[in-house]
Amino acid sequence: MICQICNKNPANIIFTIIINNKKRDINICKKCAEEKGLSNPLGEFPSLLGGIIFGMAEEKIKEIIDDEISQKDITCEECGLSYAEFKTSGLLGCQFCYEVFKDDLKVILRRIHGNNRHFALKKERILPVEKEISELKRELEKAIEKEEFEKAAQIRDKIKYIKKNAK
Amino acid sequence: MRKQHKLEIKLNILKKMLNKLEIDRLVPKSSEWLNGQGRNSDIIISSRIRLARNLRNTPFPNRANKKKLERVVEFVKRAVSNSEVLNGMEFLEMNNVNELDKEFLVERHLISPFFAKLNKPGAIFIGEGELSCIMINEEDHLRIQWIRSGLDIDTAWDNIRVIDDELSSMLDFAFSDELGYLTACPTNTGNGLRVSFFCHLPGIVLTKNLDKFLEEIVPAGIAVRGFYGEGTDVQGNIFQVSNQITLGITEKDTIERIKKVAKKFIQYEKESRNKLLKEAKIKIEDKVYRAKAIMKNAKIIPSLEFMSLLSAIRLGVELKMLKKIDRKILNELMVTVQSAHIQKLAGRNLTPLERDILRAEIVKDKINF
Repeated sequence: MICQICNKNPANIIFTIIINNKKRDINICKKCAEEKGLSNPLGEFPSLLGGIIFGMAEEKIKEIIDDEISQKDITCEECGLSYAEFKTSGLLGCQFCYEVFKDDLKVILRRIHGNNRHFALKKERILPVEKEISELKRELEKAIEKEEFEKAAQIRDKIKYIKKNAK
Repeated sequence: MRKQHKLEIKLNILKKMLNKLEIDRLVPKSSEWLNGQGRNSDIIISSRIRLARNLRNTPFPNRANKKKLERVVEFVKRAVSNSEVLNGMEFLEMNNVNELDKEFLVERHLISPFFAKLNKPGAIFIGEGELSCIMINEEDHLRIQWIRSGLDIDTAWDNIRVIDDELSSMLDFAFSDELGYLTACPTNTGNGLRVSFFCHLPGIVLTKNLDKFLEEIVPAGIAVRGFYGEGTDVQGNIFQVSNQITLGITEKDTIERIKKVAKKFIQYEKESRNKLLKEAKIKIEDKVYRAKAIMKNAKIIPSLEFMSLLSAIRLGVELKMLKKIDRKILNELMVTVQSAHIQKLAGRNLTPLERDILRAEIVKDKINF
């Protein structure tokens, strides 16, 4: 048995730790035991190998993604992320991935969060759309007055964009 | 592809030159959130809130090329410099930062270990007293954090909202009505909010009740970790507790849930300490005085050993077995005797042994038993 911390020396100490009610044995060498402070006054609680002591571990999230993702051969056209890549990294590549992988994400999000719809204090959190539009309209008028047509066109597009997204 | 409209209109110039963050200037100072003030700071060391945000129509950092990442840095830089509320923040581009300085920033909890390892265009903005920090191009385009000393999640939330609102008014964040803020990892989708606190739980650990306690007290959707967040070890009986659910819950509800959990941790830790005093006082005294003897006399103290000695000293002070030592000093030592901090202080790279020797000296100098 080789030490699970340094992966070099032979392991001669076994630590039993309990994570989420599951017993787990860790084999480590003497040197690592000392480095990890396992022979100290308050060192009864061993430094754990992973990060999460309680709760959903990172590996678990990968597992969920692995479980739920279908084998379809789809790639996000915007950023080039494929199903296979999403599966390995657990990360989406851009906002459009949320559309591309929508069906699988619904299940994944539900398994991670117990929910798949956003519920937040939206009004409180985001600048009210009306206020923003009226501000932009004022800017638009100013731009036209000053004959800054390029800028005016940009503002006009922006207003259109906001209105479209506010629906 | 749509453009970043808001930016083009409002942010075509850098209104104010941002001050560059000088890492060497941070060395003699310590972060304000370590000052040991605030409610329940005998058990709760600090409270932290973090928001994940991404710019609309730009690939997330893991899929964005160098040019796009540089553009993200530039956009946020302009937004910060154009905001009267934010332009006091100090700015630092990560590609100019060497490995030791990166480690130093990790030890100060200003950047994540993951961010330190990235070799892509990224930057940080740091507010006064290092209470606030924005990481650019970590897992998401923006990771905004606010840390407070003690149990003070509400103030952290009020403060971080100011930053978020300010940036929201200038930057277009990727957001959908159905899913909220869109983030690289599905674990942050929704409100992109992570609320956490660091707590010192020697009582619960020493009464060997940690597993039982976590099982009974910690509700689903809450995670418990070690000192430096994801993928790091538990050190010196210090734990980080945070929410894991970000979708389908309001920010307010998440905060209330974490506050409730914190109160249970405090109550249980206090009960455990009382139990120890009643049932095993001499054993605890023995641990505390042994720790004191080592700190006072040892010539070599490795970092992890230091963390567990510090835990014993802290417990000894709280239980009045030792004379009072300012909590601020104990908190600061947790960070300032870490490896990169020691080397910055020495002004050169040190071998592990040299570090352990210098650590022993600093500890003796700072703690007056």
